[in-house]
Amino acid sequence: MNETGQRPVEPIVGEPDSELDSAGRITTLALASLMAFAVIGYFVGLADGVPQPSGIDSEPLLKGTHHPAKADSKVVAAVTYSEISNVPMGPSVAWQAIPKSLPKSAHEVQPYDLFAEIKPSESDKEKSNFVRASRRAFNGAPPVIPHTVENTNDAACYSCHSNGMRMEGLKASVMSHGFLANCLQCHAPPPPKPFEKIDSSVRSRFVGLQAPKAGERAFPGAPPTIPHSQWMRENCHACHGGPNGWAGMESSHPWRTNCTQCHAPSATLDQAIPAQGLSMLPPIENSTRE
Amino acid sequence: MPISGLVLTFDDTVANHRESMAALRSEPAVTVGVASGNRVAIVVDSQSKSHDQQIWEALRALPGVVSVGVAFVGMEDAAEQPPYAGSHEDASPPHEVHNLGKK
Amino acid sequence: MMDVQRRALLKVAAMAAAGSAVSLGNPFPNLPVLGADDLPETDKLSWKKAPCRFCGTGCHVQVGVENGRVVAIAGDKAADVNKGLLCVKGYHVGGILYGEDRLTHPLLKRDGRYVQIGWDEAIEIVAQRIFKSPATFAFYGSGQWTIPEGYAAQKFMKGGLGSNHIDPNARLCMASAVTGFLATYGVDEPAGCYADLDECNVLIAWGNNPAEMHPVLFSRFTDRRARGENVRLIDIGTRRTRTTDAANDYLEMKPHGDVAIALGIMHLLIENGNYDKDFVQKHCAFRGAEATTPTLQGEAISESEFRKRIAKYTPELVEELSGVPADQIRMLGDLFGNRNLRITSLWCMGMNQHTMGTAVNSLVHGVHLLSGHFGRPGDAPTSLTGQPSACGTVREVGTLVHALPGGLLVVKPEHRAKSEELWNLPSGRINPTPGYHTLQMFEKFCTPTNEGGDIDTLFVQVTNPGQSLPNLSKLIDGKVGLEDKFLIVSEIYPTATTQLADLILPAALWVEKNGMYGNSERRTQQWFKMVDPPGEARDDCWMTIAIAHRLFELGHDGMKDKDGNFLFAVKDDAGNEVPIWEYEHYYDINVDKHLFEEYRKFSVIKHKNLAPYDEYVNARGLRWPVVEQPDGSWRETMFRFAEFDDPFVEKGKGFDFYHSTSGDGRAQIWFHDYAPPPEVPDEEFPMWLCTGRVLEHWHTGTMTRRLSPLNRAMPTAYVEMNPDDAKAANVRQGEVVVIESRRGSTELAVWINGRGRPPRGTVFVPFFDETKLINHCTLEAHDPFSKQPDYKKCAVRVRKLSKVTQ
Repeated sequence: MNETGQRPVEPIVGEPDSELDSAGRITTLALASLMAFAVIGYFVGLADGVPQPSGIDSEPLLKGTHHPAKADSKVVAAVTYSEISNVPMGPSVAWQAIPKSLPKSAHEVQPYDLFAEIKPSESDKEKSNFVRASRRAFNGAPPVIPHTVENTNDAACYSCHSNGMRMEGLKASVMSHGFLANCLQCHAPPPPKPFEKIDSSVRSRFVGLQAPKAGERAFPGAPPTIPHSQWMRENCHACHGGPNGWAGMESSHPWRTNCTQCHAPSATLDQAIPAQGLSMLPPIENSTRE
Repeated sequence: MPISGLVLTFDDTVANHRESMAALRSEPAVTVGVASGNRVAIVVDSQSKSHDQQIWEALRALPGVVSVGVAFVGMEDAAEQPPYAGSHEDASPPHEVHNLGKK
Repeated sequence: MMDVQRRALLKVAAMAAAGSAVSLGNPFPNLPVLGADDLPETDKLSWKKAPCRFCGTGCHVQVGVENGRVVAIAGDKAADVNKGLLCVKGYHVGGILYGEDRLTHPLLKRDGRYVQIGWDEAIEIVAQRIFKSPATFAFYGSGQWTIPEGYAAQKFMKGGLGSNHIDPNARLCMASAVTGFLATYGVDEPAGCYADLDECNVLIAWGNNPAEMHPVLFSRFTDRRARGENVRLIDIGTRRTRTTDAANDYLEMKPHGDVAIALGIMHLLIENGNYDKDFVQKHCAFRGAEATTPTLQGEAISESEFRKRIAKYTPELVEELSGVPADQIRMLGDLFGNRNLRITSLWCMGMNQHTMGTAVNSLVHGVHLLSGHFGRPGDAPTSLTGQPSACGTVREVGTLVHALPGGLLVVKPEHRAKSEELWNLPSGRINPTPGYHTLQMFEKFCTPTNEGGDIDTLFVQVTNPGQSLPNLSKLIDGKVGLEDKFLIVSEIYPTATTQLADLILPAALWVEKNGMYGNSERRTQQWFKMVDPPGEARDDCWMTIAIAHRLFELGHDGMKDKDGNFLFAVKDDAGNEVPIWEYEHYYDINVDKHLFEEYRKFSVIKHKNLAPYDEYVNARGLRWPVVEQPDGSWRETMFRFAEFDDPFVEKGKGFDFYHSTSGDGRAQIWFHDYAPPPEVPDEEFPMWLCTGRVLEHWHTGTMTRRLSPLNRAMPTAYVEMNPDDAKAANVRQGEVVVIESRRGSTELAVWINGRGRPPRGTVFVPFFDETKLINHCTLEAHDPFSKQPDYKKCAVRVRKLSKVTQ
């Protein structure tokens, strides 16, 4: 357990080091906090089995490493109310520096070009398929959440997943459906932090529906049909296009937006065919031909 | 041999376009369905793509029709078709289309 | 070439798409385009409807079946309840069939070990025990029984054995809701329906966490905000939950505070004079409990007497009793006093698992009646159920110790006579004395026979009392060592209950059999068998019928009707009896349909009219009363007792509570004095314990603990603690502690500021984990009318493991 999850601000306040590059700094901080935890864990282990409350106390993890913030860089000096109008308020220099120091997203490194030529790679597709399948009980199931979620509300989910994002090696997938409240109603999170190490494996013979490899084409060159249900996957570009889709599944023509104009969905998978004929329709056999 | 579900929109209520409706009904490839207000649902079951194209053009030319909307397209099974030889021409002979609405 | 049939189907689909575009006024919806390979019912993958197996919401799912196995689940877009959406349990419901440890053979305990036996032998053993001593046999069932399963068990016990020792686990979950409805309206089940969630301006969750327990209903309401609607959610609870996260107001109450809050609202409505005088005068009467021996009916009191009694429940007193600040009580009073708003109340276990369960249910109905927030869409007091057929099978079929199908009662001679007539039984077959309710049943079973324990054979179907009963040390563990007691358990997986079983019968589950369920909003649902059960597993309904038939063969008179025919005789169209007691012939005919059509005759007696079986085949459920129209169609009812929708309310009357206990078409507004909980924290046991569920697991976890995405999300039970309590107890995140009550203890890992955030002095433990049985700690104190125990509050202490072991 990395205890810093409980108070993400503190290490940044404690360890300003302008010489390190941004990624290095984060690694250092993570290491420092890991070490802090290890040290605590060591003493806890030696103690009478009565460890101190952790993650909830208000004291710093390591005595002596908690430096007061440097007024010049981090904190705007307190002023009287009468002076407020004359003092530049707002984010401090250090605060403003943080986003700049974060690793650049792939998008920033190389702006997304809607009209770039795309040649989907089979091996990428296989890899993407594998990752996708590993997060679903069957094709069409809402994916489970691959990262920690703690006291998170819907807004936090949307901040990354509404349009998706990339940062270094990580990719937040784009929501394939519209706004729905209560994300965790459908997407199961990983175990709560205190119970991460508990074996949660189950023994099951359930074999879920596999994801289709590709849609069928009426003839070579014809637009493929959509091999999966469109329900909850209204946004085709979530996976098949845009800067944050799945590698190997990209559309070669992402500028075209009316996908179903050419790609036929499946009425069966989409529950589009009513169980019974609609009463308002004439039966086909007795058509109104004259 | 496409099957498509189309929605024809007239510039006035369907009831005021009897001649066009009669023309529609006389076309064997067209099945006329429910009509409501100035819209009518039809199914086109054509024998070939070119035939389909001809019907489409005829529908658009039908007096009073302001738009033809596609609600449904049925594709056919690739396996059941002879392989295409790279030609974009439809192999099947052209079919005569009734002179819809053109008296 | 495309074959003719396919072309015809394509044309139907094409016409459907074009036709619906015309009739909906939207010429170009989502362009449903169809590929020739995607026609329905291909050999590869077929989709069929079924209600979800889990909670009482009653979502419909589409079940994808390939090669005889369930491979996928989708939300059913045609379903009115869920409109295509599901929750994380529903999406993974298909996996419940495929846990590796499914029970596949009857197992008999011999010399402390289980041996596989055949079904003939198993049925013989059960039948012989019942034949020898029918009076000491009890049947413990479930709100997860399908309607035909419950009906068969009901008829077998009350119509066959003449015994009323049949009770369901629903006794533990919604019995107080039933008594609340009966006391108020004279007839069970909500007047409103889920459509109220689409119409209300204010939703009040009374001790209820629908964000986790009924998520599809919850998001049906909260998604309205995303559509720009201004709706207000008020969460009245004993701890912060995910519902609180979405709430506009959070009213934190002390346990039992709900009683005081309801009284406080009524006090304010009277005091401010903004109650609905017209509605109350025309359609309501006042009731209070008798001074000496209170009954469910109570006694009539005048409005001035009601005013006198309610006068003391000022916002200040309510604040003292409930812990909710007086100004928030006034806020609630003002909301209910505003007739321009539409207010819906939701509750579930919080108000039902309550030693004042009947009282608080009646009081909340009273708040809605007094304020006139009743009988308009969006104005409804609605109790939710936790099991898929708590309403359908338990409340409507009446699988309770005192009830007969269709809302009839065993104590009423005319009800017994009517049932005997419909079942074609000799007069006097049905026993007039209610049997042992759940707590008594298990107490009698776990007490030695020579000490008055006069139940010696207990048949448990479709539930897991070894985990879900309160005070397990007394009510379950007492069985160990009692050699003459025989426990028969029909189950799908090994559970805390099968551990104690003498005979385990492997059961078919969900879409491995035909079934019908009834959800919280009076909606009766139907599904067909889609896949075969594993191994020798068989339908629960078949088990009951097979046992009955073996008794019939042995010469038990109860298994014959008046004419000497078998109680469950089913004839085919040619008039020949189908031997449905032989499993290989069970599906020769639709037994569900036969039982349902027989049961349906009971439903019309108390205006709970059900439609013919075939109507349900074609629908995504129908809300009763379902009444035939002049054109032969069947119309469901969304809002009961209100003229605009209920076919049984005479035109011009406005409202009619046609089963009113006062016999004059009026609903009863009850007064009950606040009484403290049966056990409150003290020096020795200083904390409140509340138990409940989490989103990912359902009930005792028998099914959800075998689904990887769910068990990964919540691999263990835990104890939720307030950070300050944790600090004071010197325990840290994840540390294992001991929770102790006067009755028992269990070890649990601590979760500080976890899924829920309890206030100081309260801990919360979910009950799904079979390895950490919190019900060793809970108490069996129960409501005097509903006999439902209070799982939501008792006194415990939290101790460090090191201190306990030292």
